[in-house]
Amino acid sequence: MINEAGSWLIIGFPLASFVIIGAVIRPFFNRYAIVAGYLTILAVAISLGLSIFAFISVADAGGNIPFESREWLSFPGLVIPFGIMMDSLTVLMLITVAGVSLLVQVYGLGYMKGDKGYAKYFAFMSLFTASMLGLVLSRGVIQLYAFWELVGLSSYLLIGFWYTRPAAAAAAKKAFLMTRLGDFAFLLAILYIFTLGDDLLDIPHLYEAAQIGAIGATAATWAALGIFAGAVGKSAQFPLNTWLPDAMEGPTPVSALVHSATMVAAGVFLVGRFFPLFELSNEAMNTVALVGGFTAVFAASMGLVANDIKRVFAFSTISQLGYMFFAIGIGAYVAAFFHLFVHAWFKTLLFMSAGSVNHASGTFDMRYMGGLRKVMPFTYATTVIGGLSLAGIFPFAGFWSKDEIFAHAAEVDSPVGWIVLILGLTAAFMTAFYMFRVIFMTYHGKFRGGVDKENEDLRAAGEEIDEAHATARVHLAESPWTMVMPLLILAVAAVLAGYLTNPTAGYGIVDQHSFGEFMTENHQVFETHEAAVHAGAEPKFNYGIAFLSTLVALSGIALAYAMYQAKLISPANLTARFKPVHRILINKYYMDELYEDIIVRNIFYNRFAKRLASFDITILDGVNVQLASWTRRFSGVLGFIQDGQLQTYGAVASAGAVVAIVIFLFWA
Amino acid sequence: MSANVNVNLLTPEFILAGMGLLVLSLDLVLPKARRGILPWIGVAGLIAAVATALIYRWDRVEELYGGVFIADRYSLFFFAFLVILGGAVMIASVDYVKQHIKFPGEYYGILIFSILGMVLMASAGELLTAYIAMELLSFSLYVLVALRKYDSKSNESAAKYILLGAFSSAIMLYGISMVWGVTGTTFYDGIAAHLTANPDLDIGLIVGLSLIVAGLGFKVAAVPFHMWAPDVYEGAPTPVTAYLAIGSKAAAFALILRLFSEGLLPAIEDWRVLIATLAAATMVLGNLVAIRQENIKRMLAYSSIGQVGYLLLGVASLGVVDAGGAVVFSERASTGIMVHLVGYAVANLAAFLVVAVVYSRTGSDQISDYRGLAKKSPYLSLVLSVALFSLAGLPFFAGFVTKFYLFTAGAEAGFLWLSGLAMVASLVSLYYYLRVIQRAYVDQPSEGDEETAVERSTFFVPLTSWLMLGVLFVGMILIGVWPTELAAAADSASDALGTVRDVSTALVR
Amino acid sequence: MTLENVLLVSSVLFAIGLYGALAKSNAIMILMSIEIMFNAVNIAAIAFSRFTVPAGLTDTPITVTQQAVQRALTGQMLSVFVITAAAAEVALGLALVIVVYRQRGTVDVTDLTEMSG
Repeated sequence: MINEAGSWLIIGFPLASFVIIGAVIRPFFNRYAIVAGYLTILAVAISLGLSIFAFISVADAGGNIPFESREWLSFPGLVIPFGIMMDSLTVLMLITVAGVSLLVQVYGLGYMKGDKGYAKYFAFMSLFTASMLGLVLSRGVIQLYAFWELVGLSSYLLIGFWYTRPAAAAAAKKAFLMTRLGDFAFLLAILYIFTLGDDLLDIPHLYEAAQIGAIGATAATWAALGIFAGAVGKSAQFPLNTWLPDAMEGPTPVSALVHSATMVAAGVFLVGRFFPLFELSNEAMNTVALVGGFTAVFAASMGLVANDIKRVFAFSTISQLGYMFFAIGIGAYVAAFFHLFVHAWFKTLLFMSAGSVNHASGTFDMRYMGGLRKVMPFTYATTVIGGLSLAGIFPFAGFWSKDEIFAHAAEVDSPVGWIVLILGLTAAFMTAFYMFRVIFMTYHGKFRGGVDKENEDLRAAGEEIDEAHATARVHLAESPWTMVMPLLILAVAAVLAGYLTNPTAGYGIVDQHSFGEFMTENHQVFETHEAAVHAGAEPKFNYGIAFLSTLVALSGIALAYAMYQAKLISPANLTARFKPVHRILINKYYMDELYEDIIVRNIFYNRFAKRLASFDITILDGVNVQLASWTRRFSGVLGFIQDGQLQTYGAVASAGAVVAIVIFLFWA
Repeated sequence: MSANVNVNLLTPEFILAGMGLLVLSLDLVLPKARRGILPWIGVAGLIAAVATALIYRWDRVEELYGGVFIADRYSLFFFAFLVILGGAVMIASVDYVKQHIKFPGEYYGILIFSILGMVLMASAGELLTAYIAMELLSFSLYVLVALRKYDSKSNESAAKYILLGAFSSAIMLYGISMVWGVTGTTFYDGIAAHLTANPDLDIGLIVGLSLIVAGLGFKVAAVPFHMWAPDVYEGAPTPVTAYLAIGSKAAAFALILRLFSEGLLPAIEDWRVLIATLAAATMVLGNLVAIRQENIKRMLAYSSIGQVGYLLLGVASLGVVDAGGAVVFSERASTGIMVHLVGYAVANLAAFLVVAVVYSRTGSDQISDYRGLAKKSPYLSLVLSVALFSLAGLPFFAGFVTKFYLFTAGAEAGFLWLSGLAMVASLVSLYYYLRVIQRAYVDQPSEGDEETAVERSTFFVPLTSWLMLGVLFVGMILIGVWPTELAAAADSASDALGTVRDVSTALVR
Repeated sequence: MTLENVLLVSSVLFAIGLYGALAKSNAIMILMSIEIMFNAVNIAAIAFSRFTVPAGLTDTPITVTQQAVQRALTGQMLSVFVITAAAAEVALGLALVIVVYRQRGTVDVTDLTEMSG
């Protein structure tokens, strides 16, 4: 049975690795930067070992090991608790995070080789892993929030890892600020929860209060919506989705770990962590379901036309996260986390394959790839496995989890269930299509020249060639074993993770519904057996749904085959015929423009700022996040009265005093 | 006179005054080369004063001159805080003064006098005393701001400061005289008694209190009385700017906290909306205008205006009306203000010290000149980033804990909307802080700049500043991770505000 | 003469000072206007002191203590303080005006706009 100190060590090892690399290796032994990689791998491996131990302990203990709630700080009337939360949800996340992280670190050894910031990369990766593990282990709400921010901070550092590239620096800042937009609502919700009761900042107390009905439905709605807003930001759900595709500017292992498997899934974890609170409010649950369902389709549709392989996967990630949200929104708690778990493996696999492909072709643009099947057979094979899993084809892992979600949606007795089911099936079709579009464009056909050709075209178009393109080389060969090995391991997981973890019938090795029962064992979250069953502890296999979803996925694949392999339908013709639709999709529904041009430029600039034309507008930084720049312009208006004139200052102050008297008089 | 005139009680203040005079006169005697010792004499004196105060007043609750001067846990907390703060500013300015200021004796001497003014502001139990203490601080600051006599920015800002300062003093005094005229007393507890006995406020009292609020608003730079602040902050010598932004603000809040909780609390229903309005305007405007600043001192000036907004949120939440309609003093709000003041002071001082060091090396305060700072001096940029993150309120740094505590107090007093606004404002502040950090880390040192090569080799941080930055750095993290002791100290200070002192000399109030 | 009359004089004086401080551009004139504002305060304080009975002296039975008498004199004390403070303020202000004059050759505050925004 794992004890509390052991639980802290799960965070402690990666943290120590971060400190050692940051404080010792990088400043003094940067020549031996390779040590940083091994150190990180070692630390994460130990964490994974401890996580597995924790998993066994929790399974033995019936889904929850209650540890003490400690005082982090105690102010008069306000005790901020902290501690270890060790329940089934925690260990599930622990294994996912530590497991994926370990593979990604191994992969990074090869991928980052020769990079100037080798040691720094591993320091940040250790920091990220530590804070992500800390997040899932948090018992106090404030502690959780602190790690939540730390995760965001390390994501910021990692996206902007190649900070000399303007695109990376801008993407990092955009990600940081946009996720913080959601975090703000989250923090407000925390404050609100606090006003509901002093001790609710301790999560088990919150569960208890939710179970005995101490929190009213309206209060629960507001608190849950605030928390959900935080999740929306972190998980890049609509309408805060625009940062994730840009975040692909970071190194590919970062995209694989942070922006597909773990950090972005933290939003789902957050909703799961506060599930008893969400369950109190139908409105909140329906919001979660509808936002998730809409995002699933919305993001998948953008993935249909993107040419950058990593961006396709980014859209795919947003879309798959949408599945998890709508699952949790319709109450399918088990299915949502099943999907999260399975998705982590195969999506990491896909990102790593994208990195591997980049290793060979020097580019991420699929228009310059093709035919790579022959030179990199391992990458090809594993990608196909990951792709089949993502598309939800029997018997790959994705099939089981997706099917469980659909089956649950079909059973929900409300219009929301039907809406999300239809949205989910639509998204499933798109998913299968874009996934196989990627496979056909990348691996089949003839090689189309890689980065050399791309640079040629860029030069011909008179565009500048950035640092990333200038230094890249075509190198047609299979990637080194440090990169291939994780792919193979993940491929095995992508095949087996489905029915081995949550079999719908017993197979001898694992009991029937083992995952579902494990996830719902914790009585603090699921008080009764009915509640557990309602959350999907014992999913029934629904042949009708399974057949339907397979059919949808196969038709997506068939369409992709017809367009990109058999060339029965010309993509160019299709594009021409649906030109407006294509333009909307390729421009990501103009959301960046909506945020930047319409809201920022037209509404704030033209309506407000231009009327006060007499001040000069500060020249904007080229790399500024435009969303925030309206505030800049607005601030210019306010700075306008600050004219340096003493008398203006005095007059404003006097006027202020008069206004103060008036306000006072009015209220007294 | 009444029996209780225990002048010994004032020993720490006497030490401060004596040290000020000593430093000033030593400046005349010492040869120029040996004047480097002056700040250390001053610091020794400050340490002596704090030690005396802590030993002598630890468990004392006493009043002097019938309540003019109050010695209790609250005054002691602020005595220690403000004197240590003053000492920190003194140490932080050693390198700067050596390079840029021709009158070290005046600088340190007057600094000590201003510290005396600050501590008196915290222990004053009566409006006139508070006013005089505040003027002692202000006059010292006028001189300190003007001390770079031959710098046109310095004396322009000093001229603005003194003219507007005097103007605001006049307004505040008019308010004091009206409050006195209506209530018949200038003692805080007397005013409280009057407000309890007459729940319907007289118009003269309303005008008087509004004018006092305006005058205090000027001192803390609350919108719309803030406009002097950016100009003065920009023009003043950087350590003085830090002192203005931290010390004078902390002292003014020490005064405000005592005045509002001991004097005006019974009428909180009447003035809380006014203070909340000021708080909202201050946090919004300060943070928004900060965005467009290109000079880092101005940016920090606006950001510290924003911080005043958060503190005012605490003031507006000082009392909670309970079910029976009685006003209950909210210790949480007052503790929150004190804790936030400390956290803010540490982070802001660190930021300003970095600015001062950079100015000494590059001769510029422009944010654009911070490009590539991380390359030139990783230490400075690390401390600067942590300071800015702390000011923005990111977790694990001082600012998060203190802000969170303050905002919960606000939410509890029914100002959830204002707490929400404060969080939006913090979000905005992160945006402009990130700009500086981005300059330091992301942008390369400008190419073609021939000095760059030289800079890189000579960009060293003087030892005193280096150590001071280290201490502040540790402080920011420590408060962020383990603020319990600080909170306990602030809490016992709040206790002192919450309890009615049983003092025999309180005859007529 | 009643309290109202004197207060009226005081507030008129305060308004005149306020106007001068805001409208004049000569730094010395501004200082003088502020001085007028201070004097308005003095008049108000002394008027209150003369015409109102402090809270301490209205108790029944009246207990005229030393302290109560002191309180009754608060207004006078206030004005003495104000006179001193104002004198110091003006002395400092004038010194600064001279420094500014030496630097720029002007005492016009509208020229003091090196810093703004």
